[in-house]
Amino acid sequence: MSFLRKKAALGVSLLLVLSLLAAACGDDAEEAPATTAAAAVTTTAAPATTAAPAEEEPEPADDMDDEEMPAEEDDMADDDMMEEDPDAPKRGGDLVFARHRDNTTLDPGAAVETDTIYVLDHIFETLFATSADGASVDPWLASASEVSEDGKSWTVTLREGVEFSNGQPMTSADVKWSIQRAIDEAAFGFLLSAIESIETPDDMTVVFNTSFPWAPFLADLSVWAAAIMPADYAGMSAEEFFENPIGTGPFLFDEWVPGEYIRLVRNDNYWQEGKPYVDSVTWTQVPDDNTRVLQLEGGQAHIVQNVPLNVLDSLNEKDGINATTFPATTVYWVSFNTTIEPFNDRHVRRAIAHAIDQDAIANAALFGHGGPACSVISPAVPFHDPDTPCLESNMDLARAELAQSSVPDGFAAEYLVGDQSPNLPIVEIIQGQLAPLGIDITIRTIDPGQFYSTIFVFDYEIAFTGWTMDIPDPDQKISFMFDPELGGGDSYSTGYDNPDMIELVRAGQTTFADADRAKIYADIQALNAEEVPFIPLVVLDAPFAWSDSVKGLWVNPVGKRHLEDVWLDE
Amino acid sequence: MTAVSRSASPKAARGRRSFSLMIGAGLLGVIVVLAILAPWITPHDPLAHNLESILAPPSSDYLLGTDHLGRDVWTRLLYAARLDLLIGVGAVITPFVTGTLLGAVAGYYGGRIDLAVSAATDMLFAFPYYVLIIALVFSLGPGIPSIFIAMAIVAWVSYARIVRGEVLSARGQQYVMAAKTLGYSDLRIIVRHILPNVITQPVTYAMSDIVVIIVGVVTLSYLGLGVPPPTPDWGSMIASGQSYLTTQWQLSTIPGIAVVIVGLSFSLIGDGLTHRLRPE
Repeated sequence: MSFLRKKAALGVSLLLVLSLLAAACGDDAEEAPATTAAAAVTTTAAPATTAAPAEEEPEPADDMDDEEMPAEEDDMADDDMMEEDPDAPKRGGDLVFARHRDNTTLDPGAAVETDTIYVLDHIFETLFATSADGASVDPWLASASEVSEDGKSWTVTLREGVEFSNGQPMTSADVKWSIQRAIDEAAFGFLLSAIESIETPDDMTVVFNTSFPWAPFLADLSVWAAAIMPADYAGMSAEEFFENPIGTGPFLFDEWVPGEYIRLVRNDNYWQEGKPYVDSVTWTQVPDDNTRVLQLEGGQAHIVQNVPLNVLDSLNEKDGINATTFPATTVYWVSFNTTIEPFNDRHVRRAIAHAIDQDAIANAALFGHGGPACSVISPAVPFHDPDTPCLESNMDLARAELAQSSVPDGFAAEYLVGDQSPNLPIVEIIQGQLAPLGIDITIRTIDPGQFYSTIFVFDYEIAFTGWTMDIPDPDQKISFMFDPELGGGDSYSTGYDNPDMIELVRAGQTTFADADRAKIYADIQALNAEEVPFIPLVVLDAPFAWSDSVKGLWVNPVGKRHLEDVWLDE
Repeated sequence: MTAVSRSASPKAARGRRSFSLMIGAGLLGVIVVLAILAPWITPHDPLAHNLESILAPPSSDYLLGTDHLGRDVWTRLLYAARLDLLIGVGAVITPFVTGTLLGAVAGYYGGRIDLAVSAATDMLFAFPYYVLIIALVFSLGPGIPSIFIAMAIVAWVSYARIVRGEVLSARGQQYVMAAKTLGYSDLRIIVRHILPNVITQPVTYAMSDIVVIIVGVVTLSYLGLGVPPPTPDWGSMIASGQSYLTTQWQLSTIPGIAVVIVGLSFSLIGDGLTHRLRPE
């Protein structure tokens, strides 16, 4: 019977292997296909992104420690770099960036997850780019812009001297074609849908006419889906083009082994003189959180992302390793399928909101690298209202609220959550917090890859979702969350449909004065706090760790990495 | 009819085998007693969160420390033993019964029935065991009932194959011939005469199978397909502790060791039983 025992032994060893390997399916819930998210927001720890991007020259900020900052003032004077100055950027080396998941595509139109987008950002670029502080956009492939008095016509001047990686100069025709393609084909093309027509008076000027005054226009042009590529795919078919894409970015596509790594090499034609510094960047896929950290410690990776929050501080104390969080714009929340009972009853949602204790969640699940959330707009995003009147965490109020509802004695519900850190502990805490109300939560974990396809078809009751900004304007997510008609997502798959809210969302899009917009977004945040189709839980920072040999790393609040600024001192 | 006679094995070998049986039973006994007494010998509620003392190191109050929600690991370990042992033993019963009966019928009648049963076992054997279980549980939806159903669908084939072989050879034995001559019904012959003689094989196999099933349950829970949180279970304890492996290694390691000990004790029992009961 030895084969029987072998089978048993196999089982035991399989389990051991599993437990040691740590499978981690680590993906981030925040990455809504719809969102792109990166990881993280926050409030606390600001790793000093100094950066004061100049108006004209987007000088991507600098990094965290003054002493290792490659002086970026001048356009990276080449001669400086060659001298003995230890702080001067060195050229060369292969930068290895370990992350928890792989790309899904090389087409910015099809891309919806952050990790795909963050790679494509280095191949393709946009007319405008989020500033280092995450509060606005700077001209990037554009050099200037002007809006007409009626707010319906934007004249954008293109940057001189930008070439695609095949040597072809970038012209207004390429811009017109690329933006039109994004409107017609891109998953996030709806952001640009206010554009009625695009004119190209000369090679370096593009005029965008919108059907109504559109306040977030420049921010929307910074979305990855609005990437500029050569018109007509430089004469290729779309399929051929994306096998070996041509963009204006600092790196060229080199090789992609799905499930293992994707490698980009330096674009010698890059318009920012002297950049990028490294010869190539290899993004490796390492799903397990602990393995990524071990790879960094073992020198197999230079930079790792999604570092487990509980080891971040101790990791930072190790020699040769830096570990910290960058401020980000991620907010996690509870969302409800408001198309079914009892979640269509605002008393039920409010009772749950009263029962949830955000402080306890932040303290127990985030290890100090984030904080409780009150507003759906993270503090790192423009028009965040710190005075949003959130429902108080109080069990008595929760009971009183539930008593007024259709299910005064409680109910059973299923809570859908993508199986990855730190989602599950947060949901487990909520499960405990709702139990005293008679609300019996069953947790349904699901592979992160299937999470959004499940909620998009409303196959859930309560879900753990969130959002990380892609552009420095709240409209992108606010319309996705609250405008079921034009926002492109059935109110982020909650089915929430409130005419007052929709009116506010649209007012926010067509109002130009910042003070007026701030008022409108404050009203939106307050209305959500009252009706709670989304109960904000926590805001998160983006945890990164990198070896001392990596210089110049910075990540802006929408998660962009700008690896053209990074150099290796090895 | 008498059972097949058993010749004595050499004393030394028998002693060693009894020894493994004793060790196995002893280990298992300790775990079972601890599991049964869990409510009286653990100081905490296995489900109660204590967010003020998460990831606490072992102390006199928390013997093995606390997990990421401040729950006592020692308490959860014992409650998990209750559940995992129950599922392991419970989930083996259906496949044991159906497999044994189908194997006996196939072996006894042969022909088309045998062909059908053998085809089914071959088909199920063609797939890797865990792949099949995971796929079934996944499509049925996570949870304990799904585990029972998946095990019932997949695990019977081993019993059927073992019993079929045994019955096939027993069929030609004189005592079966004699029973047939006496005009007994097929049912009576199978149940009263053949099965008692071949049953030791599936019984000893069941000991190893319990291990496989417990490991299967733990694996499924580890993958988020088994026992849903917050119910304590070794698999979900290993999975949730994994994020803290580099700082709080005991969270995953201790439930892992518990699985190994239970697996070892059932294997030792199975080993001892095999030699004790095997007709020689």
